[in-house]
Parts: sequence; structure tokens; C-alpha cells
Amino acid sequence: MNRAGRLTASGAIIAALLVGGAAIVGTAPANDGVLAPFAATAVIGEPVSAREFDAVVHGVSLTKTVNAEYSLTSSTVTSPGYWVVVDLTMTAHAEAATLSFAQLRVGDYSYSVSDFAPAPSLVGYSFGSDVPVRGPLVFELPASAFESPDAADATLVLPARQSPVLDTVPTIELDLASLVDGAAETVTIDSASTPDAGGAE
Amino acid sequence: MSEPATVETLPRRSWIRHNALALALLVAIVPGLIGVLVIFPLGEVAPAVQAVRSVAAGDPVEFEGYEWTLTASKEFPGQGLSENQVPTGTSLIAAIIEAKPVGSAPGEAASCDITLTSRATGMERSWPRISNLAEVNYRIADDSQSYCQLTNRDPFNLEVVFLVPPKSYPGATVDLALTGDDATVLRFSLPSEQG
Repeated sequence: MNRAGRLTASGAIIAALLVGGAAIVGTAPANDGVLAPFAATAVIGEPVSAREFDAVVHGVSLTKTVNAEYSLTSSTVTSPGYWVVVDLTMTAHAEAATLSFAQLRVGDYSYSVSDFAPAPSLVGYSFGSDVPVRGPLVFELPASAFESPDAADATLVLPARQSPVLDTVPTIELDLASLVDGAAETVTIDSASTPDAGGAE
Repeated sequence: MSEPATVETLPRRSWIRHNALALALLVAIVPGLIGVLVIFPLGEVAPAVQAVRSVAAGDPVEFEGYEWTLTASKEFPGQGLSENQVPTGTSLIAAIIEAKPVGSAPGEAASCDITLTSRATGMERSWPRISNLAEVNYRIADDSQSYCQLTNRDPFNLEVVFLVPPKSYPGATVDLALTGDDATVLRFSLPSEQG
């Protein structure tokens, strides 16, 4: 092959590699899709199991005012919007787990869990293996969140860590819109505790 | 008189010599790419190597400027919230670890973290210590403390309590690591004879 032929062949190979590379990059799934967590969905009252813990939501209430009963005192917190109080039991599997990264999602908006629940709370405290712990998760949402049509299809997501890459994430479907009319004046919350076996606390 | 040299008659350079620069670049770049794309990311997600020092119950062990000895442990089965404030279906496990400063050089750590680990079900499970002992109606001994403080170099008895499922005591260990540095873990076996 003469010099011109070799240059042409090299150019063709380089062009083919570039086109092939571009095709692979263009059609490859995005990182978000490859590393996304798996949602394990459930509704209120239905147990859901993830890799690190089991969870069951017993109920959800809406209120303007939360009264937190600490060991020596109590504190009343009022919101211009609403407090969403989730009554939940979690049971860690092998290692201690926490619900510090819980979020309430309404449409495109995510609301992080508040951290003022009396200690030991499900937020900011890790609970050990096979010991069920029942307590409140509290979220503050603006009133406008309940006017959104997405409020009827809100979800409570319970990742075990901040970036739950390729991990199972319990996702509980909640109809927040239906709670507005029955919103309580005040909801009192206590520390998380382990119920007696059989469910009676 | 010899023929003048032409392009066709010039000796051809060897392939190696012709591509020496490209090959040298490949030799330098390929290992670098493997390092950046594979080895470094794997190194970031790989768990750090942890040295576990197993300690039999009652045996002293020197660590971080202290001599540590697990002197006693006991399981308290839950009788219900109305009885002993320990939920039925659970147990409390309490352990006392004696810490005495040794040597003149203090360690760098200010405190230590304690967990209980059990392998009773065939799977390794762990529990953090209970921070609020009033929740489970547990009162530590007068000469004990429930927190681990290593800064003042005084001897102390560390009394730690864990809320666990029943039957977690046999084979359980109390694991002690310096706060912020779990490269070394002291793994104390619980004595089979409780007290």
C-alpha cells in the first residue's frame, strides 16, 4: 500500500472509532439511571422491607402546631404552613439504622425531615438490629404544597443514607390533600421507643 | 562509480524505531488511564482495613494509653414497660469495662465508641449503646460512668447498656474503637457466667 493509501486507511479507522465512540456515549444510559435506587413501594399500614431495615407507616396526621414532649420539658412549634406527622415503626436488619435522610416528596419538591423530635428520635439516632422502634417523623410543608394536584400523590421516601446508590428505598404513597380538611389543632409527639411484643406500647 | 541513492533504495527504518514515540506514549498513558479509571475509584469505595484485637473476658489489654478490662456483664430480659420498663421481646445487655491509664504518653483520641455485636443467629448484627438509660429504667453503679472520656487520664469504669433481641448474649462481643478512628477495634468477649 502506498503512502496515500495508508493515510486514507488510518483516517478511515480513526473516523470509524470516533463515530463508534460517539454512538456508545450517545446511547449509554445516564449515570443517574445506572446508579438509581430501587423503590420498594407500600401504602399506609403495609410493611415494606429494604436492604437495611423494615418499615411500616401506621398513620399520618396534619397539624398547624406540634407539641414536643421532651424528658424534662415540652416545646410547642407552630408552622405558617402545616406539619405532617408520620407515625412509623422501623426495624434495622444487621446494623444500626437511622431515618435521618427521610424525605416527603410532593411533585418536584422534596421536604427533609425535621430534627426537633424528642430524643431518642428516628432522626439523628441509630437503632440496632431486630429491635423495632416506633416514633414520629415530622415534616414542615408550605400551605401551597397542599394546593398542588401532586399533593394527592405524595410519597414518603426512606433512604438509609444520603446517596442511596443501587439501594432499596422504602417509598410510601400518601394522599396529603385528603388530610387538609381533617387537620388537627395540635399533635403531640414523644420520643421513639420499642413497643412491647404484640404491639401494645 | 556507484548509483546515487534514491527513496526506494534507502534502507527502511525498523517498525519499532518508526513508532518509538507513539509506543513510549502508550506505555506512559495506558497505566495512567487504568489508575485513574479503575484503581483510584475502587480504592475510594473499598472498605478500610480494620485490625480486630480479640480480648477474652477478664483479660486486660493495652490500647491508646489505657489498660482495658471487661470485668462484668449481664443480660436483663424485658418484662414489659409496666414492669421493668424493658419491652417484652427484647433484653438489656450491660457490660462494665475498667480503664486504667498506663505509661506516660497519652493517646490522641478524646473518646471511644462502643457497640455490641452478636453472631447468635449466624449473621453478624450490631447495636449502639443506649444513651438515655432512664428510658429503660437502668441505673449505673456509683463508681461507673456511661460515657468514654480519655482526655483527663483518670481511671474509670465504663458501664454500657444495649437494647437487643432475646438470646443475643451467647457469643456476643463488646466492640470498642476510638471515636473517628476505627482502624483498630478491641473486641471483648462477654463472660459466659454473668454477674
